Amino acid sequence: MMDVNHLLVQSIVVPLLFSPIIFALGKALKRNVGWITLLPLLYSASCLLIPSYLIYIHGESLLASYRWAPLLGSDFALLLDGISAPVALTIVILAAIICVYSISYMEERALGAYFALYLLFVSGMLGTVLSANLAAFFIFFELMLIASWLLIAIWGGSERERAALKYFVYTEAGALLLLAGIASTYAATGTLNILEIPSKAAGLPTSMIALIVSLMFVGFLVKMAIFPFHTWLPDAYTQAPMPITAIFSAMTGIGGYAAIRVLYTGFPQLLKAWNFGITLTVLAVITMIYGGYMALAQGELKRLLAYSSMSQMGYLLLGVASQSIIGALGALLIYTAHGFAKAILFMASGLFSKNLGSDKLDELGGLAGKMQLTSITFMVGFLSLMGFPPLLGFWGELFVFAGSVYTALSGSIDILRFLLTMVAILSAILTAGYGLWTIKRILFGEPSERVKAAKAEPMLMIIPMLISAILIAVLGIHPSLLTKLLAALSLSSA
Amino acid sequence: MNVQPWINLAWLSWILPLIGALLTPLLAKVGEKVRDYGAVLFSFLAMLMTLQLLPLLWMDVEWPIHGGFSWVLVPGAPILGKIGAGMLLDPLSVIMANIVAVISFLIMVYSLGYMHGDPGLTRYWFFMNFFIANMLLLVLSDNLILMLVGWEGVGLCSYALIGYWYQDSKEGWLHYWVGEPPEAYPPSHCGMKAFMVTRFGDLLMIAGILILASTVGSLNFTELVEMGKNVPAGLQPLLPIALILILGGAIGKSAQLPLMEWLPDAMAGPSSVSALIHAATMVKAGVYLVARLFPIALAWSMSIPAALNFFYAVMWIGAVTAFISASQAAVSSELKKVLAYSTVSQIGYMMMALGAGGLTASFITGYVGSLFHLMNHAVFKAALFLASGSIIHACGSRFLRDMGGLRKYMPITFYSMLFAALALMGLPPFGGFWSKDLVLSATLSAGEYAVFLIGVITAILTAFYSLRMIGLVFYGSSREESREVHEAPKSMWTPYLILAALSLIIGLVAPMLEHGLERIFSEYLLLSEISKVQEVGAVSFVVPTASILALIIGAIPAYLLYVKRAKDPGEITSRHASLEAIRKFLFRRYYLNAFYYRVIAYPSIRLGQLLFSGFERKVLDRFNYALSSAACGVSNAVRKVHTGVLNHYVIGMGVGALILLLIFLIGGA
Amino acid sequence: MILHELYFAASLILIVVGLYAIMSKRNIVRIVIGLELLTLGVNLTIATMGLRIINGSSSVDALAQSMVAISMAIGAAIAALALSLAINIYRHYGTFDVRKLRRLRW
Repeated sequence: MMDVNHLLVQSIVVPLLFSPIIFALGKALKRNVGWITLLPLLYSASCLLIPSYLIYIHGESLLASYRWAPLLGSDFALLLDGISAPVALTIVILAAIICVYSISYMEERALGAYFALYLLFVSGMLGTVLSANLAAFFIFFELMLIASWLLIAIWGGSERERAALKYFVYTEAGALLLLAGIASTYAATGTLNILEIPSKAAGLPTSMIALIVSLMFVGFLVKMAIFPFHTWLPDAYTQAPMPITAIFSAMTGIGGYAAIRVLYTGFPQLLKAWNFGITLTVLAVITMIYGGYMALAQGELKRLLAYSSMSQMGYLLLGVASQSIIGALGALLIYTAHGFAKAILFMASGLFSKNLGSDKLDELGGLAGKMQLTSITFMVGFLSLMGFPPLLGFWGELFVFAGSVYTALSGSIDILRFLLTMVAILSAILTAGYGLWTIKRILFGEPSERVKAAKAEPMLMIIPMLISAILIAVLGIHPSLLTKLLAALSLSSA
Repeated sequence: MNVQPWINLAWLSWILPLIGALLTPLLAKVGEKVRDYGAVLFSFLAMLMTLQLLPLLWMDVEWPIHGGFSWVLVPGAPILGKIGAGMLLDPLSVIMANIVAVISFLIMVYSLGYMHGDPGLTRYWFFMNFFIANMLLLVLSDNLILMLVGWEGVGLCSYALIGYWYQDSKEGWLHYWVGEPPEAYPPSHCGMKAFMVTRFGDLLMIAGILILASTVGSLNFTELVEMGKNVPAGLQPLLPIALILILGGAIGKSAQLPLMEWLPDAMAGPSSVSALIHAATMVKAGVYLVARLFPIALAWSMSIPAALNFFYAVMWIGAVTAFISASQAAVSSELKKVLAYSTVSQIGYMMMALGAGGLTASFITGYVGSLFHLMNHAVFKAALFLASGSIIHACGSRFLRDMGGLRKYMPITFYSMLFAALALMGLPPFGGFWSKDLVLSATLSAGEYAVFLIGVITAILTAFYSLRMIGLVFYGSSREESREVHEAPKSMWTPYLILAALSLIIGLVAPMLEHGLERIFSEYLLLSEISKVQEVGAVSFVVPTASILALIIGAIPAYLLYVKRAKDPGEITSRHASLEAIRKFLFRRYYLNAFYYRVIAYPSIRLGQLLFSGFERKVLDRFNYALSSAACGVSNAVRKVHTGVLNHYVIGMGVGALILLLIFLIGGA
Repeated sequence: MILHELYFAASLILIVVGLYAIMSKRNIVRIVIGLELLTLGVNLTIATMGLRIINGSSSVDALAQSMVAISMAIGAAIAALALSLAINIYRHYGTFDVRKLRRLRW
């Protein structure tokens, strides 16, 4: 089993190592350097699929430790378990798919640097997800941040520098609070290894732990664009180049993954701190509703999808806040479903911008007649977002709501949480509202002038969308593929 | 006995149409005829499977028969840890499955002629077969989650098929749109509306399901009764709440008040779709769900009296809806809309019967009455819709004012529609009479006289609008162009002629049928631990008298106005202002539709826009700028220290040294 | 010990005057003069600290004297360097006015 453990490190390091090679090759190969980028990504994917399959069968998590900084009393540890496996797999498969999309979408401008930064970005995300050591987690978190900031600032839209700066400052502020939390954890428990924290922190008063975790959570909430820390999201999403926006949904969700990791694996005693959970639940419901209303008001597809992402992050937070393992599972399923669904939608949006020259909702219309494949995948994406069985989004939402209802009703009835959950369930109508309305405005009705003059859809853009749609459908019909991974939890929590 | 073969039949009955749906695009590549006949073939196979289940009803079986496998495994989860996928065979599901499969097949055959030549047929066949698969899955599944999958699936197909002619072309105004200004809607809009309204109901249902999962622990229909009894007392009040929330889903799907506004506008879809989805099957899903919950609620009401509220809710919602939509049908200007309102009204009857049944000892009357009415209604309403498709095709318009005098030109259609309409009105010996009487007796034996009265008044209205429809379409003077009107092709009139004849045949054997159903269900429901003594009582004389009286009262004015054309209704309303006001009120759907748009839909969008411009832009963005300006301000203020003048720097040094000295002196001491 | 106080007072005056000159004078030559005065005052302070009065006769500690000697030498070097800087400034900017030399400001 030792060999398998080493695969985890490889999945992070191989893209890192390839990055300068890609940068160098960029000048010579121009656009096709993207195909070479696919190699380390596919390699990482296989490095993750094999251990995931093993933990799926055996139900035990995988931990790989390396000596790193003995002074800090911590090892560089990578953990693949029921919580990190779905997330890591989503990231790496999405990265591969979007890499293919980038090849066809991006304009010819320093693409070597683009793909090099892209690899750094993916490596950062994978590192964040797989780290079991808080210091390593933070390092990869920052790597992710810096790579994405550069990607927006250089290849973005017309106001890219401003949007990139805003994004950077916001997320960096959150990251610094996260750092404060990590430092306090070290001061309080003497270890930075997530797996050892529960035992070391056993004697500490809950209020202190709540404070430390709240510090860390503010960082995560900023990353997830939860109200009121969400203002970086619309600008960053609209100004970033389309493939990066597509993979951003994986990145914002990492905040949710980190929240689950810290709360459920690191500090499970907080799972009984109801005030903490209620506060998060309130924030989650506000985000869901606010994001939904914002999406209703938009006239541009990209911005609408950005606010929709914010709303979906609300769902994810609701799962985390449910303080029950089934809610956390729902959050992870939403992460995967939303990652792929939003990728489809953003990729479609990019296709519209390129082929039709616009992504304003009034100027698109009647697309279903002209672009059938795009329309079908577009609808599948939105249907998953709306929580429609048997697509994966349905299971995510079901489990998130189930977790919240269960926590409200188990033991003594928590009226506040129960009512909040009812409000949350009913507010899902907003998702259906803006989803169906957008579909109607874009796909149905009389074709607009732009649509009539549209060219055919390039295959390289369609295939990634199709793969995502198929994945959503397959995982939705057989969600056990992901849910059984939960058996492989390194620490069982309530 | 070995139940596996029967369960396999159940699986096959919905898997086959699903395969058919998935194969449709491939078949389309081979050829158009292959695709069309292939699609119909798969629905035929589904019907074959369900028909083979019928013998179970008169065999000596131990109900319920169920079996399945583990579908979703969530290790370590406190609830929903093991979601199964299985088929549940009991009299209710077997009967429903057959209704669905047989009528679906007939409508698929009808579609061959009706939809011939339409460019998007691949999409049509795909969604029709997908619908049949999901509907059968819905009625055959053994737990609420699997049922939810089928439930939402039929919703999707409904959405796709209502908005089938999504191009919203203005030239197709007479064919494809629905409504008159100011409530005229294009097909894509109607599809969206249907999905949104039913989705809202579905969300309520999901909330209810999750409450059940958290309290009772199981979502399997066979286990709910037992495990519901083990719920701790503190959580017991939640059970009726959960039931009523699930009822919300049924209300949405079956277009009852307050979620009924989507069905009249769903008429924008092809008539075959209206017949299948919005008359015979999907809208009955709500009734099916209530029937499923019926024994569960009844059993729970022994220990939790509040569970009876569920039945009150069902009954009253059904009654009020029945009356309101019947009144709207009486003034409708479109043929299919009359039928749509009528459907809503008749489903109200079914709900009424189920609700009233749960409140009395002789619950069998209500249960069987509702189910029998469901069967009858499916048959005659499908006939009516299919026939209306022929008529609209022939006249080139959906409006009643463009029809008339068709009796001479379309005799087969005329007789089919007449039979079906008479069944709808409840004229003996047609089937509708018997089932309607059962419904009304159920309300009487429950002692709910107000509801009984509402039922009778609705029967009056039903007779009125049915005869009005027949009169406007077939009687009166024909228009000039009617000379080109001809009877529908054979593939189109065969299905609805069969259905119309069926409505008569069912009526003729009705007493035997009723008796059989009562026997089957009383044995079955008795087994579900309801130790009540119920009398399969004879229907007293009050009910038939009342219903026939109602029929006559309603039919006479309709006959005079619309068949004999003795007077012009327009004249009458223009003379009496109050009548005109009532007509307008009914025509505008009690302003409920307008309410939904003006108070809920548009303000929501407006709220989003206001929040966006008022809060997001003005407050949050300004806050961001304020933060960054503040930071810049501080930095600008502090940098003034660097004046560049040497003297200032030295002064600074001196002052600093002095301060350090002071600190050292004071602090150190 | 009146001697000590006298000398200390004198050196204090020198230091203060020197600091004042550096802090407030515009002309760079005057600032250099101030610098020199400051150095002078500091040297006097060190020397005074070495003053020992034993049995009526006064003497200065040898260590203090040598420190002052070295300090004076360093002071001279500083003066020379500062004056050469001043001359260069005059060459580049045409003025001795310190307030005009502001290129290194914010």
